Amino acid sequence: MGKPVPVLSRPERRPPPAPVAVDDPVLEVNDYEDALIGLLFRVEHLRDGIFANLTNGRPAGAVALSGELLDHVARFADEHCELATEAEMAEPAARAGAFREFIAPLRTNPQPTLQQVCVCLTALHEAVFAAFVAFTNRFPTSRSGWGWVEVAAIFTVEFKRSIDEALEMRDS
Amino acid sequence: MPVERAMQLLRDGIAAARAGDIGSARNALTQAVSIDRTLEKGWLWLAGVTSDPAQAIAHLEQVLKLNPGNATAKSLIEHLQSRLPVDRFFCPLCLARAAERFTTCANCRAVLDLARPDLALAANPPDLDKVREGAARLATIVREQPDYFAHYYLGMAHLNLGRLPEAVAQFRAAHRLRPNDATFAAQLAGLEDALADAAPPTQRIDLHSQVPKPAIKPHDPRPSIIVVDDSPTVRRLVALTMQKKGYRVIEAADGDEALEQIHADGPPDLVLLDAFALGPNGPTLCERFRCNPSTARVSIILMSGRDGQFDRTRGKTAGPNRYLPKPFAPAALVNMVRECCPAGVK
Repeated sequence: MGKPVPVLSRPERRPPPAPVAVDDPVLEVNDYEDALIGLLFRVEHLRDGIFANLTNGRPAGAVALSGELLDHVARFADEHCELATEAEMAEPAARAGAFREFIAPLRTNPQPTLQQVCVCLTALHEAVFAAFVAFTNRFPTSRSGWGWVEVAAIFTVEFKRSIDEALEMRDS
Repeated sequence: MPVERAMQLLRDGIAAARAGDIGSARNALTQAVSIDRTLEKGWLWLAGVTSDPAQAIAHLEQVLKLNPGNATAKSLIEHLQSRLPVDRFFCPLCLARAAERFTTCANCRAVLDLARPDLALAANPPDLDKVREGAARLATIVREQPDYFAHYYLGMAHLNLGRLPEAVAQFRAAHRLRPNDATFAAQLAGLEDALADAAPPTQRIDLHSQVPKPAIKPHDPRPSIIVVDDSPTVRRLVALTMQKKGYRVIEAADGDEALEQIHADGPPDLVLLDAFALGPNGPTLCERFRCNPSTARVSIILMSGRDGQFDRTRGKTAGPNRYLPKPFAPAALVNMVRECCPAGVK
């Protein structure tokens, strides 16, 4: 049997996982939050790299990093959202699929236009946001996830702002 | 003659209106009153063939200017005003108006109801610029004419901006003005618990305190870190990581802001500096710290996304104590900070 396919990578429907019962292992909040922080450090670094590439006239580099960014998010979902229901992961999986449709033709294009890359990044933003909402739902209470919610919101706003600035770059 | 022309257009317009041809009537009557603005009858009939209530009221007000005693115009105005949509509700942050009550503003996307603080992520992220402007305006109101709503909505502005300590301070002030609001008191208690969970045991919130405590005490015994990075995400991640380990974290977007903080609060125990987000200023800021007697002995960790040999060398010649290439795992950050500045040792 080969390597398991990541949750967000599979376009087809997965068989439903076992329902979460009251005696399932308790989510260790601190460990989970630390893992999310580690993920966010990495995707923030990639976000910075994506827009540095765009600013320096390297759209192909931006495309490559955007694919890598979603791979990190998908890997996290595989590792930490095994017990998530199909309904919880439906939206993130759909958004991830939409992003992959946008990025597929760009990967083979050595000179994608800024407009094409920005459309791709908008799809990435939506996929990441949907995944973050699913990750947030894994916290047992709103209060326990507050720190993560705050910093994830900052990241998604900055990501959106960067896309808007890149589009202004195209128009100027 | 223009007057005769206006009268002819008036007759045509009235005839068209009686015949049900509203479009032709409107055209003719509009031309008539533009030629002769004293045509009281023209304005009255024009109001009658105008579909927009606000525009019709404007025409009837022209009638009243010409003849203040025109009872028909007065009654029509009253009737039309009752049909105007009334935007009675507005967002206290961005001042956008709406006809229906709302808890999330469609314009600035701020959440305005403390019952759902987690909506900040579940809904679209707010427009931070608009929320900041609203917070600045409300801060002025709080200083000059404080009342319950000013404190409450300034607290909500801080909450939407992710500033939990500042939000709690404003909600406490609001609670003192409405001590009998049990629902609000329970919501405030929930936020205070969240804030207390982020603080070390020696900094637990005193729920019975009558005086609002500032988010950072002047003589905070925790070792302090200034994180200087143009990315608000990185700053918040560092703060989230290190606050849990017993450190006080101050965020600065650039060198100037960092130096302002140092002048205001005194030198920190450690500086986490993003070397290249500041362009060539990273190492230069490092050198400035080393040359200044009050900051010469402050530990400096230089963060950078470029991991080439040149960058390490350049970073080391500027005088940092340690070098931490991005992206780094939270554990690596914690370990390096503890080596430079153990928690509990100021």
